Amino acid sequence: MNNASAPEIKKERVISPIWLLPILAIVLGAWLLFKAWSEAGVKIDIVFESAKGITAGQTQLFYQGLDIGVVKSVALAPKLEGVIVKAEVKREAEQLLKADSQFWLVTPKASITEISGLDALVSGNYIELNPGTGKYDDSFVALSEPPNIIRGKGLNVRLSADDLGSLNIGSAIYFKKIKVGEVQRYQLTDEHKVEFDIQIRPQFAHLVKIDTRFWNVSGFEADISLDGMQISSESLASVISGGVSFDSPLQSAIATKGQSFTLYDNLKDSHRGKAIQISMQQQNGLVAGRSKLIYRGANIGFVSEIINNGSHDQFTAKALVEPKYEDLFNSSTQLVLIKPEISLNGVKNIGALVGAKQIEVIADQGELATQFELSLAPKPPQGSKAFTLTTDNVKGVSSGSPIVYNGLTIGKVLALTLKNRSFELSTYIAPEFASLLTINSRFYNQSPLAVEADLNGITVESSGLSGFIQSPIILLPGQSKKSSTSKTFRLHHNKQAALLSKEKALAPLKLTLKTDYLGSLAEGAPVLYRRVPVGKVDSYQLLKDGEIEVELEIYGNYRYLVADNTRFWHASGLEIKASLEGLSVNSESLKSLVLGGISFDQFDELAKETQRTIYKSKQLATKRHLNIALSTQDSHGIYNNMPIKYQGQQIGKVTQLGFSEDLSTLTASAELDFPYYRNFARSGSLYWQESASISLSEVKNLDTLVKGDFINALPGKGKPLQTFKLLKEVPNTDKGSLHVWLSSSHFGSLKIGSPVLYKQYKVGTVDKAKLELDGSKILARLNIDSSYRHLVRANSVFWNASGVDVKLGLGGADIRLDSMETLLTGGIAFATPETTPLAESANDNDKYQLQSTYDEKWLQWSPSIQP
Amino acid sequence: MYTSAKQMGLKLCRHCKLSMSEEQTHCQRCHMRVHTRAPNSLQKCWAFVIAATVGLFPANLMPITVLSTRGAPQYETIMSGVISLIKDDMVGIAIVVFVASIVVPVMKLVGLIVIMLSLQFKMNLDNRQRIVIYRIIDIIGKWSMLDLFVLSIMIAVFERNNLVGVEAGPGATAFGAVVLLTLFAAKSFDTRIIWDKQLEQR
Repeated sequence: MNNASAPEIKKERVISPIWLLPILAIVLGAWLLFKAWSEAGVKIDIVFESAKGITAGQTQLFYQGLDIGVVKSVALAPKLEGVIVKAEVKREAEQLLKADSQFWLVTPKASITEISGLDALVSGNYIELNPGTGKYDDSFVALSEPPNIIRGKGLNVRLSADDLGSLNIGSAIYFKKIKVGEVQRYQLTDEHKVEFDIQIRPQFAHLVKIDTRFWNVSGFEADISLDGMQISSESLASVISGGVSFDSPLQSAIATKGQSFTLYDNLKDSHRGKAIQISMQQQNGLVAGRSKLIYRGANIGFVSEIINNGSHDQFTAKALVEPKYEDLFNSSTQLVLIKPEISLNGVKNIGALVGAKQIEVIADQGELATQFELSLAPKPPQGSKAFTLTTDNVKGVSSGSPIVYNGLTIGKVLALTLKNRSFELSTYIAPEFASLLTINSRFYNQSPLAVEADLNGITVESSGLSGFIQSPIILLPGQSKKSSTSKTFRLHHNKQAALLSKEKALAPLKLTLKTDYLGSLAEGAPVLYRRVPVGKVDSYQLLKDGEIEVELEIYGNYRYLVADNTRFWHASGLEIKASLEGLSVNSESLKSLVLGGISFDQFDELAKETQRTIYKSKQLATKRHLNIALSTQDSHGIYNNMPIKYQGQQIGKVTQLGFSEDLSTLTASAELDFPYYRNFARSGSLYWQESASISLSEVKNLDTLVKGDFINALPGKGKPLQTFKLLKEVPNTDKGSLHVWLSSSHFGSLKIGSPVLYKQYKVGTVDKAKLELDGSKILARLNIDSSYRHLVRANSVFWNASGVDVKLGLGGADIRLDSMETLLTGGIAFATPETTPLAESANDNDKYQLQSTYDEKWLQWSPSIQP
Repeated sequence: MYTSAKQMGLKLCRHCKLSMSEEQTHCQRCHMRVHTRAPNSLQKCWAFVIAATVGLFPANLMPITVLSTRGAPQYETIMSGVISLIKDDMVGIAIVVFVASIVVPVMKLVGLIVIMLSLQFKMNLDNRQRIVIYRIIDIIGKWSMLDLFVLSIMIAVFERNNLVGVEAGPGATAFGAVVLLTLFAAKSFDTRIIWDKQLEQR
């Protein structure tokens, strides 16, 4: 152990690995230091108008949503022109800081159309940066509003419009009501148009084609017309803030970036189609955007614009036609204004009445054209047969009046023109009825209502209610099957005229008639033959003597109807006869009621007139009268128009009554009808007044109780005579009757007219009674019928048969009564005794004694007496 | 006066406190390696202290929290946090934070540096003062982690959302490192060196 040297203790200088730690710390610290230095932002100054919403240390700077810096301080600008915002922008964003870089403050904006900057609501306002392109700069002036900038991806296209409308930046672009983009920027161009830059989102970019149409959808689109009401809007947002919608044809190529489009005011304007121009003299109620072009009922286009060419009398309507109908518009195409048609058959094109007028397109072959003239008058449909009707008087026919064949409308009047004082109606007949138009077709005007009224009833013929509004024209197809080559036809006034014209026309017969009473006759009034109009009143004039001269025209082929024995009378008005026989209303025709008219007929019994006269009535025309005078002392029961009858038939009437100067006699002027006066205006003719008489034996002329008395007449056989005595009782016309006189102390119940009975059979009457001049007797004249006169013999006895003969006895009672009538009116009975030979037959004016009573044996007499 | 165990050729197992002779390299009882004095204690302590000192700068200059509410995120350093607490009339809490986050770490480092400098350059410093300084450093050192606890709780509570978010900033990492380094520095310092020096001088 001695040798063992003491161990040298060598202090080991060891550097502990722990020293790496501070080195690491230093390295880290140095790196942090470098990092802090290198990341220190770029200091910039931005001058804002106001510091509102900007907070130092909090307000950030963003570029495309990326945080690129923060506001470090906000200070007042030295000259108080605003506030200086000092901001630190990250070094990597340094290249955004160019001289024309734009800064603006983004604040939360909440409006009904957009809530933008909502992020700013949470994150606070921030400053947005739009980099420029100039040199680096570090002091800027902020914009007060977000600039119109296009940023981001998507298809940018340009729209140009006449005005801004209600569009704004941010207004949405809709495609099928889906928002696919928005308006990014707008600006006014030098051409005073507004240009919009819009951006379509990338995923929708393919929807915009090279021929896409954009239109404004701002607000409501209200289309109120007779077709209905349509209110549409794109979306509520677009109603308020405006919007743009577009459509695209599927096949077209996709639009290129930056392509320019026109922004139309509305959907209608945006319609694509071939543009045509229609020139016209008047605007004719066409309305841009409303007036449609109609082809066979289909809507193929519309009037997009109506412009005045500056001369104020020429308008040009621009119309857009759907592309597929382009070929309809060629050099021979006609454009016709559609007018409303209102008829009772229906209402057509009523839209044209109130709303915008429409234009009908009538296409034909030809070269394509774009310039057209608007025709006001409609053209006949294709294939129809057009022709012209001429007339002097249209009588309510107007354009649109139908052409009717057997009640079926087969054509129409298109237009009416006046040419040389006569009218020309251009008309057509529908193709399917064209065969009805033959060489001898005739046309006439149908009056809307033809009324024929007579006692058989009233016949009303009407062409239908529509006839009142549009007078129809009736076609009478001729017998011929040959279709007409003529283009002109005559329109006749009525069916008769039309029918007449079918015959070989004769020259009309002109007649001059006189009348003292014009009635309601007017020029043009019909002349009727048995209610068929065969002529008309041409003219009339008042003559100096107060008469009226009427010129008639009888149509040629009816001239044979006027002969010597023809009589004319007024057919005007109604003739009403009211009597106990009934009520009779007579009128010729309603037309003659209004217009007046003349009827005529032939009467065989009448002779030629020296001067043709228009009578007031048919009766006056046909009756030839003979005036007679009837005089009587007893005017009771005599009245005007008192009929004169023969065997119940009227043969005349009292026309006038007048007293003689001394009032003793009444003279009744009466007229006897033709031909009765031949027999009754002769000597021997008898006239007596018939009154009602009621007796037990007969009831006579009861009707006179109501109707008044009448005059009975018996023909005479003597010379013509015109003055007669009017008898008060039935004259004895039995020439062979026997007149005998009875004298009696009293008249008893006898009366004039009391019967004379033979074997209780009436053989005569008491026809006269008179008092003996000395008053001692009363004389009654018996009138025994001629057939029984031989029964009265010289020895005949007469007794008074009036009253009841009552005999009372023990055997009983015997009551005898000649007749019930004699009980009341009294009567005379007679008997002739049976002597052989018989006594002589009585002579006229023999006198007999009237016994007051009879002898029983008289009743037993029953001789056979031969006449 | 007294003789140290080292002078008597003895050394102590730091793990089971068994005394043994100098020759023993391993503890007879716990078989752990045994040193007379902790090896390179001063050197290690210096390294930790220097690293902690370096870390002190980012810990205080860099934001310890990032508060994102509206607008730009708010970066708070420890000191700015203390200031805003004072502004918000929370002086008590401000003091706690200030002491725990700024005063304590700085004091720890200053204390250690003073002890080690006095040993290294044989400055006249009372051994008792040295050991008192050390004891204080050892006791308060762990409280410096308070800040980080609070921060971690805040992060957990204000889970990052769109309205309010709290994140730990780089300063928090640095601060945590500073606290750990000071702890290690204090731990690696073998207090017996203080008296060894005195014995050598004698």
